[in-house]
Amino acid sequence: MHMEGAPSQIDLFDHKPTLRQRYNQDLPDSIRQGQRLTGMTSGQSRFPVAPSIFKFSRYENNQDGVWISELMPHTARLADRLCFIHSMRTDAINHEPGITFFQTGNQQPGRPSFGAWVSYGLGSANANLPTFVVLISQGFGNMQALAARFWDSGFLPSEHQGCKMRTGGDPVLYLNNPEGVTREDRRRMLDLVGELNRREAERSLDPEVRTRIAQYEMAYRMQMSVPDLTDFSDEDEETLNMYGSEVRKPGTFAANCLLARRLAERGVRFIQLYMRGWDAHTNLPKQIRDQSVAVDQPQAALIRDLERRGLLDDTLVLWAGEFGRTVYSQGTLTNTDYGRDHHPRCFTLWMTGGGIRQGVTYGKTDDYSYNIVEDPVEVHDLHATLLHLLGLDHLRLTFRHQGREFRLTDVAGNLLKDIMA
Amino acid sequence: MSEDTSAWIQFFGRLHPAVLHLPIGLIAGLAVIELNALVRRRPGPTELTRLLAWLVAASAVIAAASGYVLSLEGDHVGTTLNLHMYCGIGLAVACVLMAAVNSRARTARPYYALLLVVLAVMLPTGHLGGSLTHGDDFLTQPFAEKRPTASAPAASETTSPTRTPTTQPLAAPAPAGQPEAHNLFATQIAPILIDRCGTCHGQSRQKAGLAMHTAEALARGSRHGPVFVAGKPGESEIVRRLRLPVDDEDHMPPAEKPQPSEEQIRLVEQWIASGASFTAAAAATNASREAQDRSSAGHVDRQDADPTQAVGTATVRERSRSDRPAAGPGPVKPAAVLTPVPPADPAALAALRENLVHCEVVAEGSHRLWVDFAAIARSTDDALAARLIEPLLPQLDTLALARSAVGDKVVGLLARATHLRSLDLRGTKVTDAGLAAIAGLPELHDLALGRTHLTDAAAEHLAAMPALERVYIWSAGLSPQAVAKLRERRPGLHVDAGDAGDAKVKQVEGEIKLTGDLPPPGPPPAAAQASAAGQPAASGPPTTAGPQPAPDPKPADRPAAPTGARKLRPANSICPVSGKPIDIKYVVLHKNRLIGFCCGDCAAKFWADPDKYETKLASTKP
Repeated sequence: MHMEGAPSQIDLFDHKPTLRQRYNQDLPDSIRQGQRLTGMTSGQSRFPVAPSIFKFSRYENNQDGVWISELMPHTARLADRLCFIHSMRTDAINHEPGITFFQTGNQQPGRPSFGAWVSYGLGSANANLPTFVVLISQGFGNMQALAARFWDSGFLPSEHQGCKMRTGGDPVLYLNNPEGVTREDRRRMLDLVGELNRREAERSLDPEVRTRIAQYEMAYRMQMSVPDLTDFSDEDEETLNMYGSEVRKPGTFAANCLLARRLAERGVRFIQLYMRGWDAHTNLPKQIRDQSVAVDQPQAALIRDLERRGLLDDTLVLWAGEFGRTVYSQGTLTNTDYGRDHHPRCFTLWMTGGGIRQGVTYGKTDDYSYNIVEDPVEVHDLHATLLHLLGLDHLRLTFRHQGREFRLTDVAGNLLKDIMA
Repeated sequence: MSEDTSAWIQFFGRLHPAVLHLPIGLIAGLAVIELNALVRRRPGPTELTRLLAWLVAASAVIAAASGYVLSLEGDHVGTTLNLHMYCGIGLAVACVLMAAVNSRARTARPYYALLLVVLAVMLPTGHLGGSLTHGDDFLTQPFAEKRPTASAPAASETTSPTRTPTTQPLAAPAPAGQPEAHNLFATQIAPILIDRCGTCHGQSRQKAGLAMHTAEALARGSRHGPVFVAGKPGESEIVRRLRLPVDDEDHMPPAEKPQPSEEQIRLVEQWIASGASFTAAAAATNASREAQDRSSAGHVDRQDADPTQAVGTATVRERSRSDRPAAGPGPVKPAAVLTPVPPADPAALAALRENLVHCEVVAEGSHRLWVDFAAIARSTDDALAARLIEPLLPQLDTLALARSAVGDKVVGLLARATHLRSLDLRGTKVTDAGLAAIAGLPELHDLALGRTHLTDAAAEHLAAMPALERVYIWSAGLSPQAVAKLRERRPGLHVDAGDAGDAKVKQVEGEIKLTGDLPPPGPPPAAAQASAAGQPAASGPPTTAGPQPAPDPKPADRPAAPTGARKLRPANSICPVSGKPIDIKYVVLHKNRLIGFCCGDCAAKFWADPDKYETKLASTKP
């Protein structure tokens, strides 16, 4: 679950009660340490500390408990299953390079995304569906653009790229054959095109032609498998209610969470849910409230649903944005309103499911949630750990391209043994 | 004795395997010649036989002497060696006698008698020597392979099918009350050592003085020192040699011999790391602990087989899966302790592929299968599933039939899938009777039954399953009472009935009070801006309507820090370009004062021609 736009760790999971006594104070230079800022706040005359106005509660887990904001009540009740990392950091300070880095291990576009690597490494367990599916939900706050290269396969064979399902109307375009074209016609057409493509592949030796053949065949099979996938009529009332009232509206985060569960139980290897709208530079309290309402119940339902079906042991769930948000207010600070700028130096994410140590927190930030003071986690460390939990060695999952072996973690990546079960 | 001489003596000893064939051939030749002479009725010594007899004598003596020198190296000990030595010396003596008799005696009788003796002694000598080199059962092995052994050793999956352990696994001293089946060394380590090292370092042959067939011998080490350092695999000679490149001179086993698998080397390492105990139970090692943990991550773990193609085909992905991380996920149990299964019928695998049923082996080198009907669940019924599964019952390790329409017919078949460890019947038509049929599966440890139509009677069958560790029965028709009873009867069993509770709240934060050492700006943004603008301008009341700004606190009331910041507040409260209230984000330093704007566009317009807005700016000033 990628929270596009970067949710505020200070208002959701990184509890800093002492900040409440530092309201509107200037952020000390000893904390900021000359950190570069975005163009949106670099011109600001001062950096007033904006404590979270949301109430936190401590929920029991397998350690001393974990503080979670009132914004996420459903998720909080799963605190004993979740593993929080409070000490994530990233190199990028803007969305585009930030998401690109988080998805591909490199700030510049062009590398294969995490999902494509997983598809390449694990292969398919369901020949009727793609191995990597992307679902996008529109947010309620300030939204940033999502580029298809975030789920691209880069230099990997393009059958590993994420298949984005549409959020309105048909989830996949042209699922139905045009009027007058029967499934047999379609089959004959594909056979003929496939034969031509095969000759072309033999002539040009271009592997992408073979990928194209495979994609046509996949599309043909998806004509049958996708309607069954997206038809929620076989879900019982209790399950639908668990995901919340929005679940019947295609494209909402709730509907996508349910779809994600249906994909997971069909053996799709990598499912990515993008939730847009966390980029609250101004008016953060209202935006984060709306965003949290949209994701909290569905994401908790997804975990519970996977759990009771016996799928959570086999499934790794990750919830993260591309970076964090600043402790100081962007724009006007009042008792009820503030904004937060991008903050790459620390942010919080959580995980649960297969192989993850549940009910623990990892890493600490300073009193301002500005710098990491304990167990920093790099994006490459996270990638290495996730791959490991999926049964892949990040050092050996490589692809030869332009004369050298490439890997997701490039030349970095340490396994986070402490968060593995 | 100088170094040089001892080296030459050792060299002489090592000529034994070459030299020994000379007397054998010569004796055989001599026997043929004499047989020929007897048949042609021209018995008696001749020039040729005399010469041959002396050659036999000389070569036999050399062979015996070199053999004796070789035995001093100590690679071999035991009865086989002793017998071989006595026979060899006896043979040499007999040969010399025979040559002497042949030369001197008048009659041929003693000579022929001695020739028969020589022939008689040569056979056992040669056989014993061969047994020393190739192993006791080298000759008879081909016959043994054909016979199914009733007591098959707990052989590893990776055991090469052409070799069986040549020595019985040692009985490691197990502590009282601990069944040997749980002893890690006896069940997992010893079989590897005996299988991969035992030929040269076993009961009959102990190269470099090292034997690995008993715990005591292993602990004793070799002539060059200990074999392992308990707790430190990195300093252990055995690990060093196992880990050397195969072409390295010191690598063990030698390059031409069967090599242990990565999994097996890891087991040895983990055994040493965990203290190299000969008595510890299997569960105490990392390997098994990992294995147990991993068993909860089944699906995620099962990808080490070829992902897209069907079982056994190699693709480019080979690289990513063949050498897995040392602590990486693997099959649910280390491959070494999974009972091996025979290879699957290729036609049956092809049928699965044809029907788009996912199928891959659960671990490299294993024939156990993960079969998943997810792709065609909706169109799978009893007949189709039964037809596809039936030929593969012995290979089934993990089977997912979730959401399909199969019922007791297929489940009944599974009673014969004795190696089935994980079964997903979510949303199928299975009934209590089906469960009763598979209640005896000896390896089944993971069973998903969510959204099925069972009754409370199913709890009985679940409780009876011998190896069951996890069962998912959310919405499966069992009453809460039956679930509670099942939990009571099988306390170690993880029963997920979809009733897992919430994390409780331990502490709630009190009322939030925002305090700071600056006067808090009033809640409405307009007021805040008014106050921000009003204070530094300080040349009259603000022009904006709004609540009266808070009085400026005296400098003494405030710490030093904010003063500097306050000086930087914009000089205006209204954007000179648009006339809207300013946003503190957009400020420009112009003519020594900060000018605020409502948005970035206005700031840009202003910057293009500052003078144009000078009057407006002045007018917004108080």
